[in-house]
Amino acid sequence: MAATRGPSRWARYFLVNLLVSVVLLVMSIVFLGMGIVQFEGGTITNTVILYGVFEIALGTVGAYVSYNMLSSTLRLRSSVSTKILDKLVTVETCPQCGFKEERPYVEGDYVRKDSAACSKCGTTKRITAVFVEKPSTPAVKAA
Amino acid sequence: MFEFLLSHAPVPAQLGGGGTDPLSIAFQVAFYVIFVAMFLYGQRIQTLFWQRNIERALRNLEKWAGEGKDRSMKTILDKGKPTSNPKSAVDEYMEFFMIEPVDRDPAGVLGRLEHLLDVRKRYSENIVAKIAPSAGTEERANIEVVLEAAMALNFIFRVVRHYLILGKKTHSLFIIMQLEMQIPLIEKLAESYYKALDAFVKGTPIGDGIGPMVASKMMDGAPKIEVPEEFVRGDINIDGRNVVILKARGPGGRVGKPGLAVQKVIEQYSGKVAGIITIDAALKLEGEKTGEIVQGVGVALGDPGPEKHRIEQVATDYNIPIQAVIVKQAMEEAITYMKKEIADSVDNAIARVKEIVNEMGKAGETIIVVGIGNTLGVGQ
Repeated sequence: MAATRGPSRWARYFLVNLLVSVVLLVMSIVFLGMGIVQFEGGTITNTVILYGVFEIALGTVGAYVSYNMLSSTLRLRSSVSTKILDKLVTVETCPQCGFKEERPYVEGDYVRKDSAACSKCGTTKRITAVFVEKPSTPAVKAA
Repeated sequence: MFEFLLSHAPVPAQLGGGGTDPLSIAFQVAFYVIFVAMFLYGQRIQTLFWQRNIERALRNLEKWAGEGKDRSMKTILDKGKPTSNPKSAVDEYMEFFMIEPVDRDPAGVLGRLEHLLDVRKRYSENIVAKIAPSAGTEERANIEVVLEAAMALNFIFRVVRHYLILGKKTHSLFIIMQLEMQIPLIEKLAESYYKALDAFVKGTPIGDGIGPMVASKMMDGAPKIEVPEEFVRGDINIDGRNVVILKARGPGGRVGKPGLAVQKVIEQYSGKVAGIITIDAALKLEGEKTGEIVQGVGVALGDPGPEKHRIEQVATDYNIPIQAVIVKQAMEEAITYMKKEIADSVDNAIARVKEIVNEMGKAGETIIVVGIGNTLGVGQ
C-alpha cells in the first residue's frame, strides 16, 4: 500500500506520478494541436469538424487531468512542515485596580494563577485569560 | 510545431486507416487505446483517482497518529519520569476500547453506561499513574487528555486505512466513493485533534473551557469547597440571590461529573432551588460568529448521556427550571487553543447569566450555575 513508510517507496510513487502526468500532458498538447490543425486546411467538411472537435475535446480533458495530477503530486512533495506557529498570549489583571496587561505566554500559565505585582498599585495580579492571538493554519498537508 | 503536427496528424483519412509512417501509426494506436480504455475502464480510472486522493489523506492521518504517539511519549517522559520505558504501555493504550452497553433493553442503560465510563476512567488513571509516577495530579490529568487525543488520531487512521484496503480488496466503487466523499471532513477532524495536542501538552485553556472560565471568574474571591466528583463549588451573592457556582477542578484537563455535583447541591437544599443555569461551548453552524452568546432552555452538556440525564431527572423531580447559555464555536476551536474572540466573550456571558439569575429567582432564593466543559488551563 502506498501509505506505508519509507523514502524510497515515496520517491518511486512521486516519480511515477510525475512521469504519468508529463506524458499525459504531452499527449494532450499533441491532440490539441491536431485538433487545431484540422481547421487550418482549405475545405472544412463535416468530417473535419467532427474529428477536429473530438481531438480538441480529448486534448482539453487530458490537459485538465494532467494538470490535476501534476499539481497534487507537487503539493504532496512540498508540504512537509507541521510546525504550529500560534502565538499564545497571557492576560494578567489586577484584582485591586483592574489594570490589565498582556504578555507572551510562559509555560505553566493558567487562568486564576497568581502572577507578578501590579505596576500601578503593587497588588498581586492574576491571570484572567490565555488565548491564541492569530491561530495559523499549519502546513499539515502531507508527509 | 503545427507544420510538424500537420504532417504527422491522424487526419480523418489516417484515423480511418490512412498514414503509414511510424508516428502516425503510433498516434492512431494511442487514440484508439485511450478511447477504448475510457469507454471500458472509465469508472475504474475514476476509482483510481479517488484512491490516490484517499492515500494522500491517509499519509497525513498516519503522520498525525505517529506524532500523537510520539508527543504522548515525550510528555510522559518529561513530566512523569518513568523508571521503565512506557512505550509498550502507550502502544497498548492506543488500542484500548470500551464496548457500549446493550441498548435493546433500554431500562437502566444510562446507569450501565455510567458504570462503564467510570471503569474506563479508572483504567486511564491507573495507566497514567503507572507510566508517569512523578507527575502531579494536574499533570496526570493533562497526560490523560494527551493520550485521549493520540488515541483518537490513531483510531481515525486505522479506520480510514481499513476502509481503503477493504475497498481495494473488493474493488468496490461504493466503499472508495463513500470514503472519498467523507475524507475532507475526516481529515479536518483529525487535524483538529492534532492541533489540540499542543494545547493539551502545554495545559493551556481550550475553546471548550469557556464554561469553566466563566464559572471561575464568577466564583473569584469566594471560598471554594470540593464536591463530588472532581468539582469545585463557590457561593456568591447576586442581587440578594444565593448563587452556587460549580465547575470542574482545574487547572488539569478534567470535565468531572457535573450531574452528580448538581444533584448533591440540590439534595443539600432539599430541592428548594429556583433554577439551574448551565454554561457551555456549543458548535456553531458555518457562517455563524465565533464567541456569540445564545440563551436557551435545557441542559447544555455534551456528555455521552449519564450526566445530562441526571441533571434533567433531578430538575424534573423537584420541578426546577433549567436554562442554558452557550458560546458558539467550531469543532476545531473547541478543542484547540482558546481564541481571543472566545476569551473575550467571558464578560458578556457573565452579564447574561446575571440577567437570567435575576429572572429566575427572587432575593433569598438559591440558583445553581454550572460551568460545563474541559477545565484544562483554568484554575479556580
